[in-house]
Amino acid sequence: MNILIAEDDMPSRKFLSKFLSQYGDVDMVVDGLEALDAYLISIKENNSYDLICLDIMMPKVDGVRVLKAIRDYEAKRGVPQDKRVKVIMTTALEGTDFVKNSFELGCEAYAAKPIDTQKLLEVLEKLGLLEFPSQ
Amino acid sequence: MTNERINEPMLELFIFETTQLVEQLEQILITTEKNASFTTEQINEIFRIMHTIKGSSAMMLFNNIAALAHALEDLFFFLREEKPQGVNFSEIIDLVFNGLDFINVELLKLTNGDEVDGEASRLIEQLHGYLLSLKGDQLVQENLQSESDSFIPQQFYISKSKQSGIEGQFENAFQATIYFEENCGMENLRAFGVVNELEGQLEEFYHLPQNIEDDESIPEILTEGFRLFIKTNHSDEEVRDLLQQTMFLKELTLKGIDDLETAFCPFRNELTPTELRGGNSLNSLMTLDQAERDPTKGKPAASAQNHQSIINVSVAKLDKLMDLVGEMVIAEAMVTQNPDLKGLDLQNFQKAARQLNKITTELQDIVMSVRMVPLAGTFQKMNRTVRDMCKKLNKEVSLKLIGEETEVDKNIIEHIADPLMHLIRNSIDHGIEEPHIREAKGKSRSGTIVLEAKNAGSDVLVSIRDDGQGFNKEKILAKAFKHNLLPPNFEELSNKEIYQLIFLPGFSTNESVTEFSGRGVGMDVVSSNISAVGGSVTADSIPEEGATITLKIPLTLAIIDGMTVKVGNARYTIPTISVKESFKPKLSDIIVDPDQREMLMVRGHCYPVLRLHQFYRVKTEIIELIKGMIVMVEQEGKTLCLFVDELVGQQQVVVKALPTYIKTLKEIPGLAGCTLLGDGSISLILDIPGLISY
Repeated sequence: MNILIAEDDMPSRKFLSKFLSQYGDVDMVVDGLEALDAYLISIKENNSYDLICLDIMMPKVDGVRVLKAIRDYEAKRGVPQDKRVKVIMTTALEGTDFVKNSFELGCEAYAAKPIDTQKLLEVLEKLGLLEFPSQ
Repeated sequence: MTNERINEPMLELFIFETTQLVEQLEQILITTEKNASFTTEQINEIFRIMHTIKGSSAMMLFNNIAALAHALEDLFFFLREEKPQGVNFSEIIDLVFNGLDFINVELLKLTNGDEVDGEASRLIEQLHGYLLSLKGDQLVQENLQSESDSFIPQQFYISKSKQSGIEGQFENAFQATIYFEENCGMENLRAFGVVNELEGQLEEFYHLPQNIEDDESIPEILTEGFRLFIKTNHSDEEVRDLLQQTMFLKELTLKGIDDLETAFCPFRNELTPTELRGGNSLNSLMTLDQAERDPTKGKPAASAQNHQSIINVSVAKLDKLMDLVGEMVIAEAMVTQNPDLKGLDLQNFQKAARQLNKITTELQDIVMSVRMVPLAGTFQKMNRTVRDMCKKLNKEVSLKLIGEETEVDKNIIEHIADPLMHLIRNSIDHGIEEPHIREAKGKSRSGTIVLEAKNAGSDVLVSIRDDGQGFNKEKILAKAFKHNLLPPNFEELSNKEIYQLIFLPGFSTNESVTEFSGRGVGMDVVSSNISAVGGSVTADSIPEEGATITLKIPLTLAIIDGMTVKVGNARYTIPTISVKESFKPKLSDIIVDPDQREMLMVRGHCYPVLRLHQFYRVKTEIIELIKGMIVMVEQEGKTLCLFVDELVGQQQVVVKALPTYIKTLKEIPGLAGCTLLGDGSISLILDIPGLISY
């Protein structure tokens, strides 16, 4: 599984990457612009990501806009619903507006920080991202 | 449901929405049970509610609720598609109620910040078993199961991890005790130096004494040592090395902690600040419109255009608004009644002032009306109480609701829900007889309880009327005698006064204590709850025909019409509602009895006089009755003449509670609160019922 983590906060990034690297190859970027770059490059190289974790408050381009850009791009290329990249928003913003907005834009899950890893795993399993389902 | 542990908006929203849906569903079930059939519409509605609950709980990863909702949904899907005949409705309804109870318990856990961990599998099995038995009767096609199974939520919300998860991340926990060299002086500063040093090096630590900023902690450091509780990923040696660098160190002990919970428990309060960072305690949400039962309401975000006419506002915000309007009313009085304006003829100013007055009054009315909520929600919850009680006690009771559209202040509603439930339970338990006894008495088999609300002036009357056996006077008296609750003059008690005895603490007439009532706290709690919001409870009864309990509740608590009077330098405000008349007494009307108690003869009736200046020990020039003013006040048929220096005027005042430091210092009788007058001085609001009964 290819995973991209976009997160500007160092401890969060490290924590997430350490946790997720058990389940796949993790790439890390520190802002939204880089996230988009990484996403486009991965498609060009035909090695696209299975999971993208987006922080919302990031420099340059925020996570919500990245999400929107990704979904727009997918729509333009005519990617079918079930083939779309899975996106999990990971953020300390917990307002219902943010959650609703992100869901409307089409993220798969919204995780409030501090992240509950057990529940995260559960969701990954439900999204069908785990090759070896956790015990 | 105020609990500061909940600070995740998504969780709040889930709890709020689900609670509403569950309530809606209960209402539907009660009506279907009455009609003993489901209409297609109702089935669809139930199906939709279960579907929504399932979807949102799956999104929030509350799998047990989702699974249960799913099973219920299956059941109603079957009912909707197959329309089976001859189904036992009460069985279905029992099953659904069990399910709803389960969901309610889980919601409560969430509200308290606990994990949702209830085991729903037994309920689900029951539901499946029941569904299978239904299907067995009908021979159903297989496609049924598949459709409702196809639903898999596509989006998830992962709620924040609880603090305990983080705690587990640290590998080691130590307790270190440091003794400083004797006579090194300023031990607290040395300790502070240690803390400073450790910060940034260790992940998490606490120290005892907790306050090392002032010198008072020095003796403790000297005798007990400076104790540190550390959680870290560093090893034993690393921590020891770090602590060894302490200046003036005399002795250092370091040991591991196994039992984290107890060792760190004194610091619990400090452990949580990161958790409470959100800080906004859960604001109970209220619905501002009667359209609570609007069927589209349950669909979150689905139909935005339907939401435009209603918004949910937190009560805290409304309270704040109310406060501000109250301040404005005072400020308005400060301007228009400003002493600087005295004697000036200001026509334009007066005009503007009148306009301002009109607008503030309107604003006040609007704010009040916004806070008003119909009693319907509270009333309808009683249906469930009646149903459960009847099942348990094998009685037949029907509940009639009258005037449920009556509106009262939101705060008051919260205070009367519990008392109402108590009273209804009492009526069913003690009042209504068993069906066979009723038949023997020539009454209809099923009893009736009428719950009625109506407006009466600035009060709302809520009455609970049953057609049961009524109160038994002799039993009440005997019981009161047994518990030493009888007043010395009990032979003179009127019927009403006897019935009033049941509201005394420690009174319960039912011989056997039942699950629902009879612990002797119920009625006592009722009356204290009601008087807490400034209301009163009265009981009346006709033997063998039934009993009536009436709650008199003020419409609102925040703003009252008051008459301000002066006694010496003090001002008092008397609620205008209780004022009957005010006049200058004539010498010939004053009667003094042998005990030196003064009374006033007014139109052939004698009324006791209360001299406010004596009662509150206020110094005043006017101590002869004929020189001052009498304000006659009345409450519940009792009248009292208050003697004051002079009347100041009438105005609307904002009731503020007396500050707690005064209340804790001394219990002052006869005061309901205080308020600010237009000139900025403080006026005490008199509690007339309190004064009369004093």
